[in-house]
Amino acid sequence: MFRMTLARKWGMLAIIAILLVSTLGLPGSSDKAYAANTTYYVDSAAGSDSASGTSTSTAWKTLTKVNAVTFQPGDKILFKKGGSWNGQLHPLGSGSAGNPITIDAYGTGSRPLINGGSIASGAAVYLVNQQYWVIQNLEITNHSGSDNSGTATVGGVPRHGIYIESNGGGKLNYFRIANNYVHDVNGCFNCGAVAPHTNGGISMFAGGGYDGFNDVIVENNTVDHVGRNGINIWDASYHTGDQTVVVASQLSTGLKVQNNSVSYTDGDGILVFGFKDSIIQYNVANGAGQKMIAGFNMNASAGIWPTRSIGTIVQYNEAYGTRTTDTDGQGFDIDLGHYGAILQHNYSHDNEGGFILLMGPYTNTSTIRYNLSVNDAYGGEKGVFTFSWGVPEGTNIYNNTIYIGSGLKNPIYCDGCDASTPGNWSFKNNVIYNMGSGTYSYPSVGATFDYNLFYGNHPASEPADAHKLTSNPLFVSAGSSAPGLSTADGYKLASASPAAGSGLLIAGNGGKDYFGDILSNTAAPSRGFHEAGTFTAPTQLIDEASDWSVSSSHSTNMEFDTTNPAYFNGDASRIKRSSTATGYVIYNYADMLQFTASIYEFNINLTKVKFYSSPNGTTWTLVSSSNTTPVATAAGWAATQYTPIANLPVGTNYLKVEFSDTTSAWGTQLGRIVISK
Amino acid sequence: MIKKRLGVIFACLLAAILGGCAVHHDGGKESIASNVHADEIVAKVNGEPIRLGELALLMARKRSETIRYFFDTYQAEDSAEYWTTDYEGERPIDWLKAAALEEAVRIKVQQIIAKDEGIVERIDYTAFREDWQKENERRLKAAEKKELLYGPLQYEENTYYDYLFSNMVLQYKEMLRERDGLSVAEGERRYEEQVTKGLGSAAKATEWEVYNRIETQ
Repeated sequence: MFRMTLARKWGMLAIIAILLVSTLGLPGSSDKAYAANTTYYVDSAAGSDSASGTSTSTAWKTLTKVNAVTFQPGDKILFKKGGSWNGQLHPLGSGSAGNPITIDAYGTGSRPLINGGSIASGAAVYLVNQQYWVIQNLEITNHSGSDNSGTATVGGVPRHGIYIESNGGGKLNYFRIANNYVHDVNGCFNCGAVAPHTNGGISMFAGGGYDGFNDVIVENNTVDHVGRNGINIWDASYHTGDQTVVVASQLSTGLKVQNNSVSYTDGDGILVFGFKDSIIQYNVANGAGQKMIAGFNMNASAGIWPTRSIGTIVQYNEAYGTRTTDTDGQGFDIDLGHYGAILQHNYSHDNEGGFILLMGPYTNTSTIRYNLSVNDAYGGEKGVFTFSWGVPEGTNIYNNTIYIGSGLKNPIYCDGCDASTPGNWSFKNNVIYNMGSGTYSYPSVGATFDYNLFYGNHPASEPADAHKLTSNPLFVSAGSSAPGLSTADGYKLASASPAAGSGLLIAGNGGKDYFGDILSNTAAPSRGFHEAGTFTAPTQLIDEASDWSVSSSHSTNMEFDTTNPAYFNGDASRIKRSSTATGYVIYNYADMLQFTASIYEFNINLTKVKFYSSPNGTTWTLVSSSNTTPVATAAGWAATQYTPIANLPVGTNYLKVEFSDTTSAWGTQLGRIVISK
Repeated sequence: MIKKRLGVIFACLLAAILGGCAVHHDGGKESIASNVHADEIVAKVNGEPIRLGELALLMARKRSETIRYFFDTYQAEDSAEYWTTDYEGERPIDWLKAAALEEAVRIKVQQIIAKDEGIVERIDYTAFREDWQKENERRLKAAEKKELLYGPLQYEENTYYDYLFSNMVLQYKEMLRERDGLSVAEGERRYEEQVTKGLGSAAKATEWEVYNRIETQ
């Protein structure tokens, strides 16, 4: 079926060439003119590079062919499932806003395999100074077959599964890296002059002062047995000369790393460097820190960590099995130069070096809350909470539940505590169930311990605490770190627990416990990661979008649409725009924390719906929000709901809903919004 | 070439790993559609079965390694008969099967060690398969209700298999350290010794009739 006479093939090419010339008006001499929105097929078994590539029966065959083409916005490059290619995939060109170039699979069977093992260095899949790309459903390996770790003094060469680079390319937009199976990549552990953390499974790197990334989602990938790191997203230009100062305007933006499974990495599992307001969520990181080099000064590894960033939210992740090589080995880490991180609702267990590492200098205002740690710090050297170079200023650790089994496991450990001036930090409402023989160490000044429950073994170093409890917290069923979330249920509080309702009320507590139960803004919480009390939903402001009585103001191009309720789940009135200029509606509601906005979309361009919070109605901050998968209603419309990723900042009194789709004034509509405090 | 004795669904099971499933086999059922075949025993280690589904997922894991080996050694590239092509006496399908079986035995030996100490109760692939499917159903429901969920929205079989295995090994090592008062390094050494010993003394029996049936066109 793949046989085609030469005459037929050339005939087809001629027709395509004529079509290209006639429709695009391109000069006839060009042999690399490819139309936008074209789908190309690549079949390693039955393809032919002299075929057109534009149908499954005229598929191309080799990477050489694909790499010679400059693709256009909207193009797709589909590799046949079950097929395999040896070498580097480096397609050229960039997509455009709304029209990315997509690398994907077709057919049935296992993912198409790109095996980069034969290349001397670099990535199996490589993009440089290109943007608007989707890379999905590939299997990618890149193992040279020989030891590439490097030694303590001589570096190996960088190798990657996927590598996307801005090297003088400026700030590159829009990357989606999804559903790939990236494994067996033997990147260097010591890479000589190259920062070793920047090579590995899936890696993005912006090197130059004006380089960076915006709008990146890395999700649902399986990454295992890779070095050095599993997933690494890195913008080196976070500063303007002083490397100890992170400058917001220098940072990359719009990053989500979610639902990935990353295991057995030579170094770190997931590392984000030089980003503002990133979200790292729903990932599983297992077995980080598989490697070290004796005598090398950069052996440290951790499971999931951001650094040189502002406002990263790390939530709903599971990290386990991280190893301490010659140092570190925690499940999580908020590292040097991080400001305002929130690390919440994570499950950490069986990490040799502990649950979390916090780096002292040049880092502050980290919030660590409502996490569960089971049997961490079993290496005996570090602690469940490990501080390095003193304690970062403004660290607030509250409502975490820590279960420590028998053996030498330190609850709190401080590495080089006196190396810098200790910051002020707090440790409140935590439950430490301590069957181990470890100790507590932390700087003698700067700490506030209050309302914690310490049960089990009480070493002399256990902190003083004005509202300390030492009675059994009565977990439902403690002691297990078995896989799966049901384990966490075992650490819930029984109703008679002394921890129930005996904690200290903390402003801006995030609104939810580990299990998603509602937290009160007025009543005393429970200690630990589980809120045993039952609280009703907060008071709400509801706008049904049928008049302007609820909102406080709106742009002049906002109006009501009462046509075709049947297209909108029966909703008889929505707010839409009368022109494609950016439009907004503003709500004033004191101390709001949450909202749920019901949006109807025709074009499903969900990036064009944005929310901003403000304390005063004049200075606005973009809200990190997420939306439910759009569900089709009727006549091409779909419904979705937006909610903020975390509580709105404490003191938020105004919320702005903004529509900015330039393709259609009416294609985005607000059906209802519920704002809660 | 298609061997006559090749079961229809079985052929597609392999095809799902190695390539596309040809329509003329069974009208397009390309996945491991039948538990009967996934449950077929291909080998036993100390009487504990290694089933076809288990071998298949390890073959999926080892597929790229096989392709790399044949490329590095023979510059072999993909072709319609790739898996059954003879390269100086070696065929990719045989190499892949052997590598997957070796890995399966290594895993089974560790599962037996953990089971003997009460760390896990069920190490049969059939039980795993049930657990995996249940877990994915649970994840779908949790996602619909916006409940807490870690990791991929749906676990691939290979990923979930390792998720359970890695946790089993961690718990076993924790038990070892606590029971025998070992340091982490001593515990690692002891574990490796046990695995090596277990591999050396394991009674391995391959069901050759089943093993040899694993072919592809």
